[in-house]
Amino acid sequence: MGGPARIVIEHPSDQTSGAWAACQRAETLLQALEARFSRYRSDSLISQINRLAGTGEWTCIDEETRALLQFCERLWEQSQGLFDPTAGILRQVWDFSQGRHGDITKLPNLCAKVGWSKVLQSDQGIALSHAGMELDLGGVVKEYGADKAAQSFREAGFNHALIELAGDIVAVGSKTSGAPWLVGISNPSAPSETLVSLELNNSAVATSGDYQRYIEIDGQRYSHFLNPHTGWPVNEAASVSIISDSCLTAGAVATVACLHSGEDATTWLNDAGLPWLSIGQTGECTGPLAPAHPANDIDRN
Amino acid sequence: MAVIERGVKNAHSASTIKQSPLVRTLGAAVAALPAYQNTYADAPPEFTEVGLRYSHYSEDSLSEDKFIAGARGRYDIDVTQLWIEAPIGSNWSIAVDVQNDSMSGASPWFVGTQVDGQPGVIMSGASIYDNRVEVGATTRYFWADGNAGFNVTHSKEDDYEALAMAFDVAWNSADNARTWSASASTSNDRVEPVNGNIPVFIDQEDIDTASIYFGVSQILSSTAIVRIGLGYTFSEGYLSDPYKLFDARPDEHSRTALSGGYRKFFPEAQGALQIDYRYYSDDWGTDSHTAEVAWHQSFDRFALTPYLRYYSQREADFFSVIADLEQDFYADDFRLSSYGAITVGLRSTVQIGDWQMEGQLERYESDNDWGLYDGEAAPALVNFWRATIGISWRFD
Amino acid sequence: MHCALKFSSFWRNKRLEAFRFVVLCAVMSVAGCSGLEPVAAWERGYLAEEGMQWQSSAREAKFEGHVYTSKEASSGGNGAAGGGCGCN
Repeated sequence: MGGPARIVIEHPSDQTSGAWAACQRAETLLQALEARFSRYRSDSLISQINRLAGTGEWTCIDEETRALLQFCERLWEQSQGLFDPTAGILRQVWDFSQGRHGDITKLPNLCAKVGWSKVLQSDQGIALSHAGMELDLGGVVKEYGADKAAQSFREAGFNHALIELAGDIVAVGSKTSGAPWLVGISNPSAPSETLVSLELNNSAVATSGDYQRYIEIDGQRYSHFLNPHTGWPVNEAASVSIISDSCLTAGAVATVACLHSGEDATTWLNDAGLPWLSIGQTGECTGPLAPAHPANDIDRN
Repeated sequence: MAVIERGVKNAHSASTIKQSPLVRTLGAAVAALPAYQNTYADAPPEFTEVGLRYSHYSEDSLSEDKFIAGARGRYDIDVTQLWIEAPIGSNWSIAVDVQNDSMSGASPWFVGTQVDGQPGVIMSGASIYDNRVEVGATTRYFWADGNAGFNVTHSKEDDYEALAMAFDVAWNSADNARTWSASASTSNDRVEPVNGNIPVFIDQEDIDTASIYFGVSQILSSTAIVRIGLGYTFSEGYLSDPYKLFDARPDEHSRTALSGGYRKFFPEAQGALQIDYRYYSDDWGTDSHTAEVAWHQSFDRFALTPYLRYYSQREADFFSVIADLEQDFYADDFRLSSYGAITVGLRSTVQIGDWQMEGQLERYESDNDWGLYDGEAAPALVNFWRATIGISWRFD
Repeated sequence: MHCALKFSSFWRNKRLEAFRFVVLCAVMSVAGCSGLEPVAAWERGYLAEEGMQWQSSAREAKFEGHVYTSKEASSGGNGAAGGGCGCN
């Protein structure tokens, strides 16, 4: 999934082998999701769908994929089209690894191929109506994987576990002592430094965005989130963390917050009604989860 | 990742996550995915709940044309229910319920003949005032496939005391699509009527009751469930009504009830159809049918449920409008007559954060003509209003 | 008058018998049904909705049961009977 993963399971000493088996099962689950949804694998379901773009041929999809796409559609509606799984092709113009932009003249052509409304769904499956269109579920698959792994632990009878997939964390229950799991949100410019500590009990936290990754255009900082309507990156860079009962919902709200800029992002976050934290370009924290104390008395580890 | 104890102190848990419209919409889509179902293991609630309900029950006064003597105003009852329910560890829960009923009003003493030949009611002379307090405690144990509970309840009022115990168990099938339930209870009651404005002729009598119930519920589809149940109750002891002048009932009573229910959810409408039915039959000659239909309509943060109940019962073998004292058993109690009754009501609930508020209003009217069964019309049939408000709070 | 009542109630009782029989059959067939489509765990979201519970609230159910048992001749229908009262 492209990031470090850590799993903690608290279990009775006689269930060690069961816990190992559960971890392996979780790993298998995540690998299966990657095999299905990775853009980098030519044999994945996503690549299959993308290859048939504009041909008029349907790709059959299973119920789980269909449900995941339904979720994406709801999020697309709720975010007024800001969240759009077809916006991935815009990356052909913006080279974030180099921190600069490519050929802007290609944008209008690419924008014509972006838009969830151009995705066709029927009993026969899914089809992309224009050639060159691409579906990219990278924005939801990792969070969904974390939730799925958590559920597999519950089904196996392990109700005290913590799953961390890079910035997406799911707490299954609390610790066996009854105390909540403690999770730290670190400073993106100094990852060893924790800005906020969260206590989780049967909930999830997802972090979207990283104000360290940005593009500079004419002296202005832009994040690596691309606005599907304009084709341009968002004129703001922040790291947003959300707590919800599912990592999928938390990640969705955080991602859309990063697709807004300025006041709109704050409005979106407050309307969502979930606990949120935003870390801005100079490391300043805002939101209900922001610590009350100033950042200068943080312990270092 | 460094983990230090500072920052937000209140743990974030699934049960305290608020439901904004956005989260609700996404949540519905999330619920359709494999990873988000309740685990098959039965578990105690994750939160503690404290609640308070107040209800006012008010019977219509007896109408002029059915009234002979006494006080016309019938019962007014104020009921307060207070409860707390909390998990204990990861497998147990406990609930304590306290209920107070404060009653006042007159009740039918016996039925006689009016000047014009029509039957009429002689009511008790003045209003009675009585207060009943009931305290009950239930402990419940949860395991992977089900749960079991044990309850003890004690109630006391001026002239009546009851002690009841009940045990119930529910067991889920392997795929969780079917749930079997069973329960058994006993109750030992003592009546010691108060010699007030109605003369009474017994000192102290006992009533013992035992009851069992079996039921099963089944998931029919992703939007529908159904259940059926069968119950049997047996009572023995002094079963007559000591406050009625002419009332002599058998000292044994055997009752059977067959019940069923159906729930169907309509996602486009965000509403659920609720249908419940019960058939009852006992060895005193009474049969009855009860049918209830309701529609639960969800909105953003509140819900409204209008409901309708139809009830019809057949008179007991020994009932007659004016008690027939020649028989071994006799009663003129309207509650043993043939009649039909309709309840129309509206229930509403509002969720604000960890608080839930409820309000309910209903009207009950009964009439001999509305019944499915033959039988003479008792003049003392009752109509009433009932209103309830309540508030409850859930916390970790 | 007693005889006349009995005769006219004969057919009414027959209708009631038939009604009872139909209800019993419906109930038995539901109990015995096994040819249902299985509903996968992830399709059960709707069943957890507030309106899909068997009781709107445990305390409301208890209160209603109490009112109807004291004002009507019938009882039962959901679980074993609870404690009594001197309700008049």
